[in-house]
Formats: sequence, structure tokens, C-alpha cells
Amino acid sequence: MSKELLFKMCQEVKQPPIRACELVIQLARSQDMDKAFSKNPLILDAVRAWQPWFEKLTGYECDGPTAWLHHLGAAVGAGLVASRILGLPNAPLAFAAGLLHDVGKYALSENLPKSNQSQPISEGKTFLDWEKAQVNYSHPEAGAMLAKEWGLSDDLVMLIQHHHQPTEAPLELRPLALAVHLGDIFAMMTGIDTPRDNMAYPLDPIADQYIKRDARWEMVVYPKLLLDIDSDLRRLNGVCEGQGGTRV
Amino acid sequence: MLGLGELAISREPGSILKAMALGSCVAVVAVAPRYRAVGMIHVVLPDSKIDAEKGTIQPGYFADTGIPALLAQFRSAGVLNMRDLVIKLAGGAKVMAGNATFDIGKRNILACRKALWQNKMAPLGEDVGSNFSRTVWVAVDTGRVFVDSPGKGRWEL
Repeated sequence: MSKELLFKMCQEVKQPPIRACELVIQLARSQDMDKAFSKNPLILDAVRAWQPWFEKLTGYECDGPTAWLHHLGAAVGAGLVASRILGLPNAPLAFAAGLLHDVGKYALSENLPKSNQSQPISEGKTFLDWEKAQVNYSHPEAGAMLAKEWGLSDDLVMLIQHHHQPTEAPLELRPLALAVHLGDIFAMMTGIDTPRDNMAYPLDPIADQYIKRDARWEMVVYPKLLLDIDSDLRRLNGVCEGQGGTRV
Repeated sequence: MLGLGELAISREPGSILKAMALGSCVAVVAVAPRYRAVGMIHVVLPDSKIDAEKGTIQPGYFADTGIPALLAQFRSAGVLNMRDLVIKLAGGAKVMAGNATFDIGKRNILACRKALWQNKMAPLGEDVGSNFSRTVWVAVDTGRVFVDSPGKGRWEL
């Protein structure tokens, strides 16, 4: 697939509302992570604005509500890792990038072969390798192109592009890219995933540079983080229930 | 369908208990063939010490509270001798290329085994670890336990 064709496929992806893009840009600039996610008005507005946009991802064997939950789960995970584990001031940017991290799948979805018509992923290969073998591009690359099309900030574009390989993000963005990477992985590990590619991505080795394993991490910090991601996800998804949010 | 941290038993003919897309979570499946009863827990974390209140409200969330709660439900349903239960474990995967820093799946498996041992029980079958997602289900009518995984197919545990 040529870059022109990828561009064309991105053009065919449903445009998000302008207000939704504005909110996510505003959120990405914000440094207010003091309040709980479900009490942060900007986060609530952004979540409400984006939830209806998420539809089924046929190529990833995923229905719309599940796709939405995966993005919301990754956003909550990214925000909590950025603020609580990495101590970053711009955690809302991580949340915003988590909320949109897999939008590139909407460009590729219809062009991926069905499970019964494709070779399984070879041992040692990732889903990114498989996507590239099918359509020449991976969903992070397509996502970055979409984010640019929608006029999102350069930081958001980069974080979407590098959410599976934070090592390759520009140096100043690496900790945030790691937060989005881990938010995505933690969502997958708790089954909040797009089914076809669940757990088919490696952990980036950069995680070891930022997170040191000790007894406290293992017994308290990490389990508590997973517990809080689940709780915050349920609360935030609850605010969308009136507009078609799904059961967690 | 059992969501994160949910626990259930069933004796209703034709019904199925299912835990979807287990990553690091573990499904503890219990079958009482003589009673035509099955049970399942969707365990998320190993130890309730991090949130004792949650462990009380939703015991299935943790291995250490979930397994005693499941056994209590079987007793309430008339399965008094725990030797009548066949236990199987599935799930507890870890992220590809991940190391022990993020391997909560392994801790979940160990905590489930420990909680079973404390009740003088052990799993008869396990399909645990590795780095793929599993959906696990058990049917009341047959007591057979199956595992589905995207791209890998289905097998019986």
C-alpha cells in the first residue's frame, strides 16, 4: 500500500466532531491532574464528546463499545502511570493520547484480512509486523496521520505514533510515551482489549529504566495501580451510560 | 458472563459460565459432577491486603478472598464435601517480552494455588502463563471446560 493509499484510507475515517478535537487539545495542554478523573470537568467533557465516535473495528474483531472501553481504559492507565508512577506534570496529555492511541485502527480495519483468510502471526512476531505485512503500515503510523489530519497537537501525534515503541519517541516525550504504552498494556492485561490483537505486542525495554522492581512495587504499588485503573474506568464509563456507554 | 472480580455458581441446565479475554487475570473453575453444579471466579489480583474493603464487597476480585467465597457458595448449594469438586485454572498470562516487574499473572496463579492448598485442594488441570489472551467457559450440562484464544483456536482443559 502506498502512502497515498494510506492517506486516502485516513480520509475515509469518520471525522470526529470539532468540539471533541478542541477538548482533547485543551486537555493535552492542561496540567490539572489534582482532581480524580471522574471529577475533572475537562476530562469528563472530552470523554463524553469522544465516546459516540467509537464504532466497531471489523478487522480487529471488535464491537464499538469494546473499542471505546479499550481506549478509555488505556487513557485512565496512561494518566495514572504518568501522574502517580512517573510523577509527570503533564499527565493530562498522557490521558488524552491514551484516549486516542489506537485511532489508526479505524484507517486499517477494513483492509485487514479476516482471521480465517490470513496466516496466524508467526512465533516471535508482533501484531505490528503482521499489520505491515498485510497493508504496509501499522496502526500507530496510521493513527499519527489521522491525528495530524484532525489538527491535533504535535505532542499528541507523536504519542499516538510511538505508543508501542516509546524508545523511538523524541527524548523529551519518552516518559509520556511510556505512560501511554503501559496504559495500553495494562488495559490489555485486564481483558479490556480489541480481541484480535490482545497481548500481541511486546513490552518496550525502556520500562525498566523508569520503573524499578522492589517488594513495595510488587506487593503494593503495582496491584493498587491495576485496581485503581479498573475503578476509575468504571466511574468514567458511568458518565457515558446515558449516551450508550457499555457495561464494564 | 463474569466480569472482572465476579464470582458465580450455577446448577441451571443449559447454562454456561464464561470469563472473557483473560490476560493476567485467572479463571478458577470448579465443577461438582455429582451435583451437576459449576462455579467460576474471575480473579484480578492476588491479595486483598491492598484493599480489604473491596475484598469484602467483591471477594472474587482477589485470589485469597475469592476461593473461600466460591467454596462457601458451593457449601450453601449443598456441596458439603470439597473432594467432590474438580478445580481447573486458566489465564495468568504475561505481556510479550515482559519481565517479572509486570508479571502479575504469575502472582495470580501462585495465589490461587496457595488459597486452594489452604483448603486442602489442588487444581486438576491448568492452562496458565505464556503471553496470549484466553476466554474460558464451562457448561453446567457437561462440566467440560474449554479455552478459546484469538488466532489459536479452542481446546479443552
